[in-house]
Amino acid sequence: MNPDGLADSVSVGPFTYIGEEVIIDDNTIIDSNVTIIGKTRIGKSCRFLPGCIVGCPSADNPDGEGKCIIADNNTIREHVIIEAGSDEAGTILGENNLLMVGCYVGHDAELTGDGIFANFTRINHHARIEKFVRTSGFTTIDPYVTVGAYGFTTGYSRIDHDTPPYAIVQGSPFRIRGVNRENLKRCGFSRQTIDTLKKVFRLIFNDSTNLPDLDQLAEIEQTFDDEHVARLLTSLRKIATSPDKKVLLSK
Amino acid sequence: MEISVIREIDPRVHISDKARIGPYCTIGPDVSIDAGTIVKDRVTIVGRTIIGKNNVIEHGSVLGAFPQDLKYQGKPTYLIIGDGNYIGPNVTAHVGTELGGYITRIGNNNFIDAAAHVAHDCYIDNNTYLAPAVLLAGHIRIETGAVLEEMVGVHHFTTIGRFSKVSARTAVTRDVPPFTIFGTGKENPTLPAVILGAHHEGIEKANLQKQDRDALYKAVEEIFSDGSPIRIKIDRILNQRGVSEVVKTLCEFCLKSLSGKYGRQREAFRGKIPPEAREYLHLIEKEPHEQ
Repeated sequence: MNPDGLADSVSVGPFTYIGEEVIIDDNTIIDSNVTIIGKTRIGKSCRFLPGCIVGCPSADNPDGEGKCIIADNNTIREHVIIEAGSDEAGTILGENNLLMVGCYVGHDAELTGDGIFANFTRINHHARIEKFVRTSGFTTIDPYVTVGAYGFTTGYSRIDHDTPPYAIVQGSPFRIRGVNRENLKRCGFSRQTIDTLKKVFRLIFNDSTNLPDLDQLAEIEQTFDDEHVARLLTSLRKIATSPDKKVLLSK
Repeated sequence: MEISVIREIDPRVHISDKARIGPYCTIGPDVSIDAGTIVKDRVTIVGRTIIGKNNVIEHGSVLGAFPQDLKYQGKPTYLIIGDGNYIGPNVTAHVGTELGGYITRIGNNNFIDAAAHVAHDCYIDNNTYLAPAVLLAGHIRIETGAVLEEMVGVHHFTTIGRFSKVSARTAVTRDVPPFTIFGTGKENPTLPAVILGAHHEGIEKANLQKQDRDALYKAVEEIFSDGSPIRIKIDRILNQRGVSEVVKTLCEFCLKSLSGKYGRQREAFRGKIPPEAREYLHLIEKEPHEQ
């Protein structure tokens, strides 16, 4: 263990192994049987529960030289695995994430922050999770996929393509089920905004083809003057112009 | 012969002389472990956890950690494990929450396999089988003899009935009636799970008399074989003369679930102390309450 890298107020449980290059900031609590290795940096007031492994080498990077940056106020529950990155940026966890029992975060994944990931959520390598995302049990997020902000994934869903923000997605492969009203309400969105988003979702995802037409998107943008709608449409345009738009075809 | 003595046990822990604790175990201050229990290596037992006799707790399990419920305020809550349970490797079980009744309970002679998760305020009765990676959300009741196969995920406030079976990789979002198999059928693999029929092994295991057994098979067949309204069929069964006790419990379970929100009878206990917790109220009352 490297005591130089640990702030004074860090508490470390028994049988925990902390590698030489690890740096841990104030008030972080690390329980027993935790392994933290590699070039891992951990912020303030994080909590690590027994059995989690952070900064372990990945299949792409067996030497384990990559970085792993964990910001403040993250709770990492039992048996979570977070791999070290292989790229320059490394694996990044933003602030206020809760990773429940048995979650897996692959190398170079980016969790922007404020997410709650239920048990056994697998976030594969290079995936990007935007803010305030909630996942249910056994969700699998494929490599290089972006999950939109305020999104919700139901149990056993497989996220094989980018998802738009504010959406509830379900199934394997997933379909878009509607607006994540409950989460938006909890995050302090006004009723009016939620209703607007709901109308837009109806317009876009309720027709028979389920494929957003770029003309249709432009029309919607003119009708609804709302920053959240604009954000949704920007994301949808990106998905629609991507080479593989299977996601929005499925009905 | 004890070889390894590398373990961290708080002096306040109450461990019976006849219990065996393996190496690299961390056992917190408010834990009590009764005679005959074997705790293998790298096990962490924290929180207010009471473990009965003759349990086996396998490698890497974490029992009694604080719940994953964000509404939990940090008050003393309990995890109570009965006798003769097998708790597999990397199993996690959490203590209860204040709003859910302070108690998580695992009964007697349960088999909880590897990496299963028992969340806050769950009540597991006796003789159940939880396969590897079974995921129980909070406030769930699993009744005696139920079988949950691999990777079953159960929604909050669900009840899994007596001697029922949930097939592998099923998302359970409503109550599973006793003596039935619940799962996704061959014709509809992606749709929400349905009741597939009677659980023969469960009914055999339940030690029923032959006439009860036959009545039960008939009732399950009648209630769940077609899509017509269940309430009418149950009324018809209950109005017959000489309905056996076990069929009556099945019908009552179904009626309760039907009247519950989203088909879950325990939704009524949201934010309330459930009846199962009353048995343990003396533990909660003993705690020094903050003024």
